[in-house]
Amino acid sequence: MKEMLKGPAIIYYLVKQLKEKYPDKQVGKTVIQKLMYLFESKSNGDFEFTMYHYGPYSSKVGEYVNIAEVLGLIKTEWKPEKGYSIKPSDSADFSDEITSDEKKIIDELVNKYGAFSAVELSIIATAFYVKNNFEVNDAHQIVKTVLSLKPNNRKEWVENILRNAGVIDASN
Amino acid sequence: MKIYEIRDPVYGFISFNEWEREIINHPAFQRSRRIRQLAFTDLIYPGATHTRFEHSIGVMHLATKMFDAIVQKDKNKRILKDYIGYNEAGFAKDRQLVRLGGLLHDVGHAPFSHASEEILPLNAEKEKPYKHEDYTVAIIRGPLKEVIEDHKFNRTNYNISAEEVAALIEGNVSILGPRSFWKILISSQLDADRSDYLLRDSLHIGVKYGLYDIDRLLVTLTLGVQPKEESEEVVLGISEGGWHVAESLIIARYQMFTQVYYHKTRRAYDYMLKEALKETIKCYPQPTEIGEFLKYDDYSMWNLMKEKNSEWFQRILKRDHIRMIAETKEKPLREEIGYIEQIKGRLEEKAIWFWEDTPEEVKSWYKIKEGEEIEIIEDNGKVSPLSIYSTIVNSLQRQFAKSRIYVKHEEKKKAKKIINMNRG
Repeated sequence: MKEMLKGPAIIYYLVKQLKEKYPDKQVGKTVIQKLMYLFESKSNGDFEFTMYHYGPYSSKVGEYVNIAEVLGLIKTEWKPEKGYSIKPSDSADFSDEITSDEKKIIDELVNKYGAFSAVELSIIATAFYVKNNFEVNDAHQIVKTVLSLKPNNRKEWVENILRNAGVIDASN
Repeated sequence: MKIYEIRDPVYGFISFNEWEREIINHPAFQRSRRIRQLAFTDLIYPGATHTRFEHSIGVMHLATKMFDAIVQKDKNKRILKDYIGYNEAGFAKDRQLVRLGGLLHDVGHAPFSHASEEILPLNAEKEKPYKHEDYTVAIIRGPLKEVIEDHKFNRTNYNISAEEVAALIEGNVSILGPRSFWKILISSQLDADRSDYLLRDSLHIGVKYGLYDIDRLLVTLTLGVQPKEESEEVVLGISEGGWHVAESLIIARYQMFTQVYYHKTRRAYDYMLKEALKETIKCYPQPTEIGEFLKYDDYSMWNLMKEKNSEWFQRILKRDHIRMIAETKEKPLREEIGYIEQIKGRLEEKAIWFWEDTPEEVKSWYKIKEGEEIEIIEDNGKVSPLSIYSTIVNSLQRQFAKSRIYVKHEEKKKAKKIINMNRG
């Protein structure tokens, strides 16, 4: 049963690191969902992500966010025009519920992807999911698939994001 | 095109065309008549003998009604035309795609539905066990491919491929692109699957917990766009005036979960069945051997379990289930979690067999996803989560995490004594 605290503790640590490194960043539920997908890929966890038109989504991760809030690890606020704003709590600390390896993965993810916006992270996570699950490895096909889901975005912009995130090679 | 009708206990008559009739009559689909929706729940609620067959037809029907309810509103149609680029022919094709997705979404279930998921084999590539969805898409791409693709009604009007139906179920955006949007009607917080089984399970079991106003739900289904900072994605939700029906749906899910799906004796039989199955066969065939997998249904597994006659199977036959000796509250405190750990330690010390049940697995089966929000959409398209409107929902979404300890019937007294000693 103790392992039930691990998920919320991971969420807490992720939010804490994000807000420490990028104090002005709006951390919403989309940011958490997409970064947790990247965490799953690197940690071999199983949060049961499935793919939707808006990218990978895990209701398990959604639950962990709720539990983290109930346990007082994070504070969640809904702003009508901007969506969710999630902050770490000052008082609680469940960092000892997660391993040093897990912390290291989160630190690396925050360093590498923390500056991306929710929409950009959605593009990155979608591209990784397509690569990992649907055997789409060709850079052109990956960009095409992402663009079909985000038709209002320019191809160059999407390519640039995917290159910066290391989903496709810089040579593409 | 000839239209057929079938009588359904939830909706009255359900219509389907001759192409769909051929799919329904295919042995791979007929197998779902021999897979019970709720395994051995009838040992607690005798009416719970319904199957995946009627649920699947119900999901096809309800997904169609949801699709129509969305598309018939001009505002939604505009969003879909702008976002996905639909024309009328596109809508007609994907209405049919959604029907097939609903009909076939559960065709890959293992015997006794979820109870035997633990003996699905390991996917070596992903280092995770296969899920029933992996079998569903393998059946659609394999045994059902011909009957899906080759009917003249399909070839002339839609040209829907088996690959597209499978892609809708697995969310394969590389095949469907933005048309994968419709997966939300097959699997999401407002899908036809959950909306159907709440009504159907309630009806068969004889409880009222899962009932909600389905007609009101359909009338209020609508689309909106998330705020830019959140994701700027098109979402399915309920119009603001109908938020109370969304609230009643969440309450229905909660009641069904606590009173039926996580019923202490029902869970005991889920466990015992799982163990009896594990003692009977090591694991089911891989999705690559789909013909072999399809040979397994409730009937064949019952016969195999009977031949094996394991201890757990004998207990099932005698209705001699494991007994609960301790449980936490629905939202346990940290101390309660510690108490459960203490009990486990003491039972281990005295070599008393026990099983700890936590709701994680069963919540996953019945898609009781407390992390998923139903979105409420204002006339101007603005989206807000239901929990902002409803204090009841806000409270119910705060994680049900009751844990229970079970022991064998004959050791209950001894175990209870140990627990009490422990407390003293």
